[in-house]
Amino acid sequence: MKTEFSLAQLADPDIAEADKILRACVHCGFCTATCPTYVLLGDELDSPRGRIYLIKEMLEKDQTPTAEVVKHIDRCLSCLACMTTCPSGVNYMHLVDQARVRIEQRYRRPLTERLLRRVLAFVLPDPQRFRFSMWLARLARPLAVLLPTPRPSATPGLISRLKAMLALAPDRLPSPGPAAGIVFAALGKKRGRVALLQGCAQQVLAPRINQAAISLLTRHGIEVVLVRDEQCCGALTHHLGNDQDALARARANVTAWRAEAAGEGLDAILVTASGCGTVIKDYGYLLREDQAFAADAAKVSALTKDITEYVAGLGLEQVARQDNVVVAYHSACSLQHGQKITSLPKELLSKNGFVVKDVPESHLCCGSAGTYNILQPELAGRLRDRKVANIASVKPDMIAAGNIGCMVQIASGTSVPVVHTIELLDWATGGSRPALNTQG
Amino acid sequence: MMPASDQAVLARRAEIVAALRAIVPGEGVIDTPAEMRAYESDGLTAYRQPPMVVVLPDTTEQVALVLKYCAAQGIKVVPRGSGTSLSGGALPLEDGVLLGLGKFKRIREIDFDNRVVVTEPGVTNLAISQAVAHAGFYYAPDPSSQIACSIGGNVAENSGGVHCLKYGMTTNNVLGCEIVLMSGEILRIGGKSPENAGYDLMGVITGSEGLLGVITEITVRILQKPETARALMVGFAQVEAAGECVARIIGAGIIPGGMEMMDKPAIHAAEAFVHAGYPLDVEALLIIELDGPKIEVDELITRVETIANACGSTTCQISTSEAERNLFWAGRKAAFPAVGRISPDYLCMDGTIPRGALPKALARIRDLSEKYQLGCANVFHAGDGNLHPLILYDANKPGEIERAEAFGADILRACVEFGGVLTGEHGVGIEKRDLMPEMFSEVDLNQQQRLKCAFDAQGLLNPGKVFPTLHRCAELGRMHVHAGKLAFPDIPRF
Amino acid sequence: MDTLKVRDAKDVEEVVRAAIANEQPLEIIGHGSKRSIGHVMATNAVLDVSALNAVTSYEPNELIVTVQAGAPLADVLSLIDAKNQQFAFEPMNTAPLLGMPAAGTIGGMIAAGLAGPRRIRAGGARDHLLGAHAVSGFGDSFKTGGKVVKNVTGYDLCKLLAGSWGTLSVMTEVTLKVMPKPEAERTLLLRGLDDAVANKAMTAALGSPFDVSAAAHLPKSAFRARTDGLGDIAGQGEALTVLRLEGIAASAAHRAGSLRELLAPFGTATLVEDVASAALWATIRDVLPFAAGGALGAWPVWRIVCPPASGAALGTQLARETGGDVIYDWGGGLIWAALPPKPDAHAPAVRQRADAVGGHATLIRAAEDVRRIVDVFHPQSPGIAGLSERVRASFDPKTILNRGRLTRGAR
Repeated sequence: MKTEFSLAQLADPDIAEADKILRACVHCGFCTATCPTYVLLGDELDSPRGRIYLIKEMLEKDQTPTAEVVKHIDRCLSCLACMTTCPSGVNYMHLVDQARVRIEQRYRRPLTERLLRRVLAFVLPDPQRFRFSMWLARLARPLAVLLPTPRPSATPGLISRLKAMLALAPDRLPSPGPAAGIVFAALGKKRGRVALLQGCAQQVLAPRINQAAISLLTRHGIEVVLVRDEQCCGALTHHLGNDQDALARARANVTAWRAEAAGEGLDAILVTASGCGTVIKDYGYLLREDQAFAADAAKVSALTKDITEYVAGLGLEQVARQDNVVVAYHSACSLQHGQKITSLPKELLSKNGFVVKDVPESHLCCGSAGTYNILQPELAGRLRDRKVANIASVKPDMIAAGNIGCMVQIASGTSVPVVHTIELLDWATGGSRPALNTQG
Repeated sequence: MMPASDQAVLARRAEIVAALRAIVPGEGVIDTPAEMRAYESDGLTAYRQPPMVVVLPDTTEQVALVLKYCAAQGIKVVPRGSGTSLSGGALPLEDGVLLGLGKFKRIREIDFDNRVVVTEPGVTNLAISQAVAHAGFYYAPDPSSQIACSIGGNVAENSGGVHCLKYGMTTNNVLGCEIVLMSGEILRIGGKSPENAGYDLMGVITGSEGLLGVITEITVRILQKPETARALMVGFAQVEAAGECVARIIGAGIIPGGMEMMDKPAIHAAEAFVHAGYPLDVEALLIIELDGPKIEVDELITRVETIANACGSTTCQISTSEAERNLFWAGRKAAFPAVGRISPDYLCMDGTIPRGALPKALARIRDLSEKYQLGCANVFHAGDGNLHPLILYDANKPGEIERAEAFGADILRACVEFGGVLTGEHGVGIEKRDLMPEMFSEVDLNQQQRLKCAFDAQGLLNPGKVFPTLHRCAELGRMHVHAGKLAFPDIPRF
Repeated sequence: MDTLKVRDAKDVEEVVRAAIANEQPLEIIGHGSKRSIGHVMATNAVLDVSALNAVTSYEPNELIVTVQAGAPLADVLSLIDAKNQQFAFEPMNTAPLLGMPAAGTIGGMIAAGLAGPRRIRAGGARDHLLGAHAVSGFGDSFKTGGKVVKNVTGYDLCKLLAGSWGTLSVMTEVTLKVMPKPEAERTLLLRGLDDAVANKAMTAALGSPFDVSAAAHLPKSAFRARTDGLGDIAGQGEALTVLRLEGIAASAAHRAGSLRELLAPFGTATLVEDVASAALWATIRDVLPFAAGGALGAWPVWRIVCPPASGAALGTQLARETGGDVIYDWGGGLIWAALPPKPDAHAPAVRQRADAVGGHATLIRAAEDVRRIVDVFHPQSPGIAGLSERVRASFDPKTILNRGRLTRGAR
């Protein structure tokens, strides 16, 4: 696609990068087909091709983003289905990330929205604050009935967002998992040593996921480290366009893992939340302009693996095959589009006896998408309902997914138990049966 | 280039936008410059023009009211589906309303007994096949953009695809429609019957490029999937040998489900995207698909393989699984945009030639590539002689687009010279409009425009497309009657 | 009345121009084999194109043949048959039904657009007309389409010309798509099914992956008339449901086997091959049970097209109501109905039944006095009728060509 940047503009490495991305787009429109918001709304502006146009215009003219541009960019889930579909190799992810940063820097959102975003950025990445807020939410939930019911709208107001937030808070929080700094020794002969990302919201909502991972890994001879000084990966604030916060977290993590790797060594950094994995695998790109971190960030990205990628190489011992459990596999966007891990988790589950069902329209996002289900409750709700209906069509006993966000989102719309892939694999290889029908 | 903008209409823009908002509430009317930018072109980015306003109705009634209003006010309207046209069929007008059908996304009825699907026009081509796949059915025409292109757009352009050699184009697979004329009149044409009464209006609406009416519902035929399908991927050291192979297969009475050719640059670009295992050292690659019962497919594969060997093929791979067959096709189907990996921009041509002229046409394209100093990747529907030369250029380099266009025009002229036509499946649109006189005389074109008058006497629907010169209907309808009585000419009488 | 036998396209132009100037409407004929279809025309001169009978080009490898409009259908069929090719839409020979001596011309075949049993799989005349040269009612010779199988350049006027009964233009030369003839054909026969069950069997067959190329049902009553082509197949005169499979021999046989299994709930199907099968389908294509020379030769004949799954209900009721006979083709989507003579040929009943399922009916055979009081072609909704009228005017504003053929009482 033709671009119109001046030489002066192109001197800015970000603009040069955007130019490169835009030039790859041939405007074929294939991306519209798999974009969840285009599928729902039918307006090209709510499709990747339309957003690319809006971003191109904003960058070329060096404009302050208008409310309309912000509206359409905000509706993007960053599910990256478009990148799977795109034959020309347009890196939409890096383009929309850049647009989000620019919006954050140059656009003044209405006060309530600024506050909400600040609260989310303050609370979510910090497990202590998040735990406290969940407790508050539980107290506040009875009050939700007092809030008026706003008309459903693709541009939601504060009230519907508050309601969405309250609805997502679980009834009861599980007790916290193991603390940072602990090392879980390999059982039997030690075959490897990995760091397991502790995560932020996940460790409050579902510590059982990492517990399952630790149980499986150690049983297979892998020593697991919960690295001290590790932080939230930065994905949450990154997707809110708060680049400063996200990059600071990235640097902190690179520092922590670098130290760990330099000490007793790390074969891999494992991630059980694919939303986090996608961003950590992109640290190398995010910090490419930072001389002090670029090389180490690239190493960290190379070392990072989704939990399924790593366990696939372990040769799992099927001591407790589960042969009659029908599992609907929900392909998290960050896994299938972000990390291009599509069939591997299903193969692992099948090999361990589970009857794995593909979900129709599996390329479509469930609507979770980080903070999307809070910021865009109406669209997120429609996507969730569509996803849940598609899942129901295969009549599963359980739903497996590789990302906590999706798990919470889907669980809010179905009574079928939602578990993490690693929990099922742990179960089939001798770990405990996943605690079903609870969010803890 | 386009019809002169009506300044009086532009001066009333605010009033027009307000009137449209009254018909289509909510976000269905888009009028800010930044947002309208996204609608400035379709799949043919060489031409761009933001519209006066974009309207996205979601009911037939809204479409009818919008058209009625525009007809009464003398406002031009350009319909648009998914915006994947490669001929600029949905290029907006500065003083026109862009009428998007993106919200018409529902499949209204699936009738397996009558083997039809009734659908709204914004549903994608592929979604129709997906909706009936569980019962073993599919919708046969499969343009390469089928993942994204809308069925309404398919009807407007009479889209083809890789399987139309055997299964026909859109026109052969559509039974009826609901169409709104520019006047706002809603008509139902045909339906579930295998044939329509009266003049074949459905037939002439199909492929009319949005100039005759706005389609709001379509009834398509669906077919049972063949028991099996397998594809051969055959490489040749010379393009000519591949052309010969195609001719001999048809000559042997074999009509493959699909028969496609790619040349070296196209093979490389597609392989970079799909990793289908295309041979990278051949000059031409044929993908030949045979479908039907296994026993037939196996037999025909042997026959085709024998012919290919006799034509000097250098590599031959035969798909052994459905996944592998799909992989063979994946590269071909994504070949156009995949070329975006080797060139920032491309122009996709679409002439058809008699199959026998294939070697001649390829030689000509090579010469022209030399002359214009621009690369060209070739993708063909070899079975039906439909060429898709992709002219590679860089829009950011001054002068390249002009050279690319001149190159393209020369290719299409050559197609006509070799006994072929300007467009096999992409439509004339804006891209080939000015080449129409290469193929049609003024009399021919006048007759076509008279038909347009029967549907849209004011000429408000998608003007500036297809026809190089526009005439008023009154002028076209005038008869040149000779004064006084004329004797019948001096010819045999009985 | 003058009959002007034109020698070339130029002649046609001159005749039409003179006719315009003199306001003297023309009847367009080839061999005149279908002259009796339609209303009595308000014309006072005849334009005869039968001398435009040359084959312009035939390129079997390109799958196209270009011929002048007056070329005899039979000649062209034998020409392409010699190269093992055919018109896939199986054009109907109307001669036996109408009691005419010859099968007519290529131009007539297209203008009437009467396709045979394979229409459900391969399409009709409209789907095989690739290009045409014609003279409009403006007296101008124009061309549309091309000489290649795939073409979307400009409006597809070929579609309008096909089935227009000579009311839009005088075709002078046409390019048609030809297809290889199948190597073998096999027909499965089911005996004794009633119409409704037969309709279900045909629906099951056409909804199967076995690529059924034709599906027809001859109720028992069809056998009281002439059944020459059927020979032994007619058997004891029970109802006959027939399904055709074509292709390379091994494939046709294999699919016949699979289809037979699929249809087991409807009875045990027997098999008819090649020559006998071809004769059977020619009988159905040309509606021989209702032939002019047969027992029902004096009965009016309707051609009703409807959604295939609605066929049996429509046909059975109509037959019961009128005491007539019906034959189903196109899996139920085409009903030939020979009804006992009546001044209005049972038009209200036929039209009401057809309308009820979204179908339409044409009175293909009827005496002139019947055609004076009955609409031969199915009346259309006001919107479609208005548009059709405008379309006609865009080709022939003075209605010089075949005036009155489509609409009753036109002057």
